[in-house]
Amino acid sequence: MGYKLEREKTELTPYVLIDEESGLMKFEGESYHENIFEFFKEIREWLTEYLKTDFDAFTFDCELKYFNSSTVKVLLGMLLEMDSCDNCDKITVNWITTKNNRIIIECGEDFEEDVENLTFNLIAN
Amino acid sequence: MDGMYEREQKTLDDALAHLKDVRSGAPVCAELFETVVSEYKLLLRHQQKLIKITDKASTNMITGQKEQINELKNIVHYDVLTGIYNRRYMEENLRRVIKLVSRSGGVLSVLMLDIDYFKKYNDTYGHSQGDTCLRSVAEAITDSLSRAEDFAARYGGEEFAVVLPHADAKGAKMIAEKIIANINALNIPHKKSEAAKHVTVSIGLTTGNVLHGQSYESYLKRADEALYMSKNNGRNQYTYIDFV
Repeated sequence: MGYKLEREKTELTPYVLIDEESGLMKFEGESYHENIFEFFKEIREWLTEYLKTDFDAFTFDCELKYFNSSTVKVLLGMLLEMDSCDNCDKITVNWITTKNNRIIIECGEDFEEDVENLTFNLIAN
Repeated sequence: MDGMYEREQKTLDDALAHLKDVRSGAPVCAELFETVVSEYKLLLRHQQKLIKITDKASTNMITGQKEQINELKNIVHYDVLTGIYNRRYMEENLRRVIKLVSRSGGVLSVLMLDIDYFKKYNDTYGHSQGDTCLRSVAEAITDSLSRAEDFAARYGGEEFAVVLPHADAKGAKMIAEKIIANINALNIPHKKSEAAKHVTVSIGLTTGNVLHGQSYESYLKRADEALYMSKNNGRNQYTYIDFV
C-alpha cells in the first residue's frame, strides 16, 4: 500500500491530500503560515522519492486561494522537480481557481511559463 | 528556514570552494565557473518569478480582505429582515447629516413611522406573515423617496425612520402623504385594525433649521412626539410639528 496523507485545513494552512495509490496530490485553501516550508517538509520529501519511482500517472490539483511567498517557493520547487523527472510526461498539474479570480489565474500562468514537459491545466470554475 | 535556500547555498559554497582553490594556486576551471554562472542565472530567474507571483498573491489577498470588509459593512449597516438601513446606521448617518447641513445653514426633516396595530396583525396572521408585512412596508417607504440623499431605516420592531436632508416642511409633508398613500395602496388585509381594513401607518414629522451642536436624538424625539399625536388622532395619518 502506498503512502497516504490527509491534513485538514486550518486558518493558515491548506487541506492536503496525498494518495500514492491513486497517484494524487491535492492542496486546497489558504497557505500563509510563517513556517510553511516546515509544513510542506514531509510532503516535499515524499514527492522527491515518489518522482524517482516508475508511476503510471500522477495528478497534482492545486486550489489555493491565498498564499505567501514561502508557499510560492515551495510550489515552484515542486513543479520544477516534477518537470525534470524521468516520468514528467505522466504528470498532470491542475491549477484550479474561480472564474472571476483573474489574479490567481495569472499566478497559474506565471507558473505555467516555467514548466516544459508536464501537462499544466488552468481550470477556472 | 533551513533547507529553503539549500540550492542557493550549495551554489554559493561551490563557488567559494573554487575561489579558495584558485587562491591556493589551482588553475581557474572555466567549466566550473560556467556551471556556477548558469546556476546563478537560473536561480535569479526563479527569484524574479517568485516575486512576481508573490506580488500578485498579495494583491489577491488585499482584494479579498476589502471584499470581506464590504460584506461586514453591509451586515453592520443593513437590517437583515427588510434590507433597508438599520437603526445603528441611521443614527450614525443622521449625526453626519446634521453636521453637514448645519454648515450650509439648511433645513432638515425627520419622519418617524409606526405600523398601526402591528401587534394585533402578528397575533392574527402569525410572525411569518408579519415579517412579510414589514418587508412590504419598508419597500413602500423607500419607493416614496426619490432624492439620493433621502434615506429610510428600520428603527426597531414595527417602527421606521426617514431622514430628508435639505427638505423643508412643505416637501416633507408631500413625502409623508406619499408614504401613507403607497402603504394604503398595498392593501394588505388587517381585519383587527381599528384604523382601516388594511395595514396603515402613523407618521410623525418635524422640520428644523439645522444649527451646529443640535443632537440627532432631539430630532427623533420631536418626530416621535408628532407620531404620538397621529396615533391619538385615529392613526393612518401624519402630524407635523416644528422642530424647536
